[in-house]
Amino acid sequence: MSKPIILIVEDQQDIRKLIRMTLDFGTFELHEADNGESGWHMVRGLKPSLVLLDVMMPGALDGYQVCSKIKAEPQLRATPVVLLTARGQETDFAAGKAAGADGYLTKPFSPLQLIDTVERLLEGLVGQNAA
Amino acid sequence: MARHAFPLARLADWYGGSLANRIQVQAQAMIMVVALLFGTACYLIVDRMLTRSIENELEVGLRLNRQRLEDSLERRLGELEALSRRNLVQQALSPRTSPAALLAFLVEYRGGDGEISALALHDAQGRPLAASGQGGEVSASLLDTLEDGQPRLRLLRHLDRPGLQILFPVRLPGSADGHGVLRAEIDLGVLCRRLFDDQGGLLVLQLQGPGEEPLFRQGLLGGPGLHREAALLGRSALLQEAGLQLQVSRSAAQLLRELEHLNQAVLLLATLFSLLTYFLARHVAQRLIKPLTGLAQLAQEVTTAGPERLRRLPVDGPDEVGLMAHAFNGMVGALQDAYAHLEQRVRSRTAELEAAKARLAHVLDASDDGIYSLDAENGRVLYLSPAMARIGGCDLHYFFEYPNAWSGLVLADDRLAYTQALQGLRDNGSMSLRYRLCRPDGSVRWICDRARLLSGPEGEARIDGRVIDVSEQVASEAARTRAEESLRLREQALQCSANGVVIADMRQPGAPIIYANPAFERITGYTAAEVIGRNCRFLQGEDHDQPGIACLARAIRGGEECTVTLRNYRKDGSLFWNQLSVSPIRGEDGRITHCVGVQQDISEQMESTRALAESEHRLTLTFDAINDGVWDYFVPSGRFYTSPSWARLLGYPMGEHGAGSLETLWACIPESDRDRVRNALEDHLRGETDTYQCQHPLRQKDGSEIWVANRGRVVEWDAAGKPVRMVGTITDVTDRYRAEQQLMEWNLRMESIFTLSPDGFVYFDRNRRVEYVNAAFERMTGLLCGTVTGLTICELEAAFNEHLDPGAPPAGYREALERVAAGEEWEPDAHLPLIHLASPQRRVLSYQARLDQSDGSLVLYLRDVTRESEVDRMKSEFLSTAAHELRTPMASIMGFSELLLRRNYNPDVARECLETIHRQSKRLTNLLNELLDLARIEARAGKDFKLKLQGVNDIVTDTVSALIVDDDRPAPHVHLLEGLPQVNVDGAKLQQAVMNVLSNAYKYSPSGGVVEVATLGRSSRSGHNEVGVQITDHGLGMTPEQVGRVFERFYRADPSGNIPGTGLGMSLVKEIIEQHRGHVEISSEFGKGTTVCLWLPAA
Repeated sequence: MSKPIILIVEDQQDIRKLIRMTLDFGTFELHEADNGESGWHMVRGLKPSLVLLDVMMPGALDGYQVCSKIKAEPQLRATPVVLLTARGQETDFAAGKAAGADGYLTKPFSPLQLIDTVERLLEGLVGQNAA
Repeated sequence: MARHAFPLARLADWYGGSLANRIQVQAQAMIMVVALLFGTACYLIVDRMLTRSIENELEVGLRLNRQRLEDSLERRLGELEALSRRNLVQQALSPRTSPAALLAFLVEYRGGDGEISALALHDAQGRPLAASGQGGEVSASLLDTLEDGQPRLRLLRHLDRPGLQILFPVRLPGSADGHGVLRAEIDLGVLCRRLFDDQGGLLVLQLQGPGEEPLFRQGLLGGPGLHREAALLGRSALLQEAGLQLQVSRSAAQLLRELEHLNQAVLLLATLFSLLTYFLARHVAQRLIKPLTGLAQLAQEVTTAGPERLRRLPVDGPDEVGLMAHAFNGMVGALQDAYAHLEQRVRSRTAELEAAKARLAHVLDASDDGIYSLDAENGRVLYLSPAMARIGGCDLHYFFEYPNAWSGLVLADDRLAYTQALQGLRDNGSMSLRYRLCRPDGSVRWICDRARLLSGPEGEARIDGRVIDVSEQVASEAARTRAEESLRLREQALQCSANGVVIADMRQPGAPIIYANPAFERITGYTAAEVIGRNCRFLQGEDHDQPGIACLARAIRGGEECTVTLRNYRKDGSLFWNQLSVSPIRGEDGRITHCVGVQQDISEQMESTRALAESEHRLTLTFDAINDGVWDYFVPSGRFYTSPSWARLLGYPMGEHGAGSLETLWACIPESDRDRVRNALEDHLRGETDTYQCQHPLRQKDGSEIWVANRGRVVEWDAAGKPVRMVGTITDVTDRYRAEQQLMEWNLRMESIFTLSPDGFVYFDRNRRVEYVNAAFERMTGLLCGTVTGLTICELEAAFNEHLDPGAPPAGYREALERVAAGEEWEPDAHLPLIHLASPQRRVLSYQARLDQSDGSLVLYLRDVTRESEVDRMKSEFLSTAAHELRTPMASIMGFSELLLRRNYNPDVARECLETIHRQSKRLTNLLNELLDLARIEARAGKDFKLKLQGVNDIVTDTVSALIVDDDRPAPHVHLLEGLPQVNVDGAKLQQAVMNVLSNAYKYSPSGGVVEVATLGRSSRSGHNEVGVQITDHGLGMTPEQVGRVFERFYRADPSGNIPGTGLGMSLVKEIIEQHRGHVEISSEFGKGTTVCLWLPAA
């Protein structure tokens, strides 16, 4: 079985590097995009196992919108989406929920927390597929 | 204390009389015993020491003198022995020599001191060959010595001079028979005197031989003495043969004398000491006893004076006495409290007792029952209550004076029964009798007398009794018997009566009829069986609104008789006028038990008087109107009659203003109003108005004005239809008029307030319809007063909804209004409810509602809070953005540092991570600094700027020199325009602004290109001179959209993070320049570059 593909959509280079270093221990295949549009294209092209999505990004699509698009597409709907954001207010969580996100990590987040979230969601996926 | 003649007993008294004395005596005795023991011991020790010292002296004297004597004798013996061996002496025995030479030698040898009293040489026959000194007899011992050749020593006892005779054998060498004896005699007296002469003093020396008599004595012993003696022991046995003894003595008298001195001193000291201890012990005892004496005195005071005025003991020190004093003080305090409490209780008990006594006296005084108490033995009166006097009809003294007075009052017919009852009382212990009493004034009263025989506290027999006047009861019993007799007769009379009679039982609920006679049946058409058990009211049918009914009800409630006329209805429904007389019947207890109604059908009579009564009644009512003046105007004659209240109204005394002409009225009306009133009256007289009605002022007698309402109507016309008589009333409405005036004034004032108010008001009347809205409301909502007046709350909401912002949360004011209208309290601290309007322009309104309890009107109050809510929104947006910007670098710092902590990376990777962390920390720091700068500048609004007049060129030069440019970038090109006017700026702040723009110019031209800085001057549109600093780069440039947002906080033209920055730099620039009353101009072309110019007003 091939490695699960994880797509990182994040405008800040440092954060992308952080995520890559956090998850890069040979188990996952990692891809990056630095804005919403290219992220959305890569989702459709790559069909990743999981998408890590920054909320506030420059350009036409922000994280919520990309997430909504993924959840609107029947083929992509099962893909877990984790939102990464520096906004931690109640309304922001609600917006994430409305967009259909499966996880929500508030910056600053602990790398360990990120690994936990990713593995939990991927395990759930495997469990679902097995079922 | 008794004085005893006997001194010992007196001493005992003195000893027992005071604790101080006992302490003194005991302490003194104790000290004396100790002193005595100590003194005795000292005395003994001193005595012993004296004796010892004398003994020592004796011992030393003895040893010394014996030694001397021994040495002296030994030496003498040695010399003599040596002499006996000398050649000269030995040769003298030879017959060839002359003894004369020897004699001269012996005399010389003896010397002149007389110590050797004799010295001689004897030949073998004992004859003296040569002899010096006295003596010379040949003794037996001389012959012994000649015979055995042994030296001998013998004590000579001459009475006058004792001595020692010493014999040494002498041999002539070489001759068998030539031997002799050397005889020497030593005078002991001379010897001893020589030796002991210097031993004067106290010692007595005595030499004695084996016998008892002394051989020699030095000194005199006058009396008994102490002795020491020892035998003389020389080195040679010769001396021992003599058996001499030396005795040393000392007189005891001296010792005794010293002891006597000692005794005297001790005695003196003992006396002084006992005196001292006496005074000391006395003083100490008194000091010790002093607080106790105080206690004793206070205790004495407690017993004699009582505890209220007691002083407190001084408590000094924590010792037992102090404790005792403290405890005693406590005890005295407790005693005082207890005493006060006791006093209080006694007082309150006494007061209670007094009150109880007074109460009892009042009860007895008020009681109608007489109470008495008699001595059973002799009938003497012990107590009588005041009621006894009332019952007996004579003064109480009378009964006290004459014990048989009461029985004397008993009616003669009953006296026997009374006497028997009294006897029964004494036999059985109780009595209850009803008898008659004939009072002194002749009236006879029935008495109920109940008494009991009691034994008092000391065993004496007493009769206590109660007397009740039961005359009324007896009378009523008799009356009842009579009444029952007559009742049957009346019953029959009632049956025959022409008037209807009905009896109602008032004790039962609903007061049902219990009797109705045949006449009642005839009048009403109901049978008795039909009406019994019902209330009389059924006769009224539905017609309950009759004045007579209320009157009847009142009379029945009040228990009075009354006669009313009622409209009643028969069984067939026809009306009849019923004149009803009702009398209540009271039971014995005074309560109404029954009502008897007697009815008479007076329908015909009624009908004829009804019309008359009605008009009369109306008239009465009219004139009863208290404050209204009534007037009566006869038109043809012009006469004008007024009621008394009219005069009162005008301030005249009654009757002064009776009749008059109409002119009198006009005279009272001020001229300004007169025509108006006159016209109104004439209009009515002409028949143009239905009633004459006019409100006008009226001048009172004292000149003050009142306002009156004048109403009237023509009541009679003549055949031609002309008015003949007109009546009317006049009412004082001054107060109402003034109130109206005031109200109008208030209304005007409120109107202007509401019109001017910036806040909107909507008034709903009590039917919850809009009554009024003010100008501010119209302005806010665009809804005009005319269009909303009369709308309900719902309709107003509908009108409002057209203007609402569809995106905003629901306003909910209708629900709030309805809640308030229902009487709920408006919660002032609830979250401020808001209405968001989209048209006529975007507004946010807060609202409140209030219910006016007095008239039920409702007010909706609207306030324009557009600006406040906009500020709120901006603030929260800024906060959330700032949080985002602060969290983003924090994500890198936290993430990388955690990775470094958890995993092991090779040094290159680790260094890269650390660099990132460092970079992001720096960014975070810059961000915070700039945020703080911004906040400070905003908050202080430029107040902490250190403004100074200076040239802008210097600032630019300083800034450029402070700029650190990457190595591969050229320094900025600077073009400074000379001769620019000075500006009034804070140099440091302006430098910061220029620096921010300059570093942006470098950052946003990453591919290089020259950065230019120039200073310029111009005249602005408003005519003021301006100085500018212009920074131009040839870098990335910005789109117009980006230019539009460049001053937004945290806005970054490059959001990817490739170009470092916080997004606050330009905000800060703008803030600084604007605080200097300048402005920033930006022109940029995407891909070409950007020019930023900071304009400042010239000073």
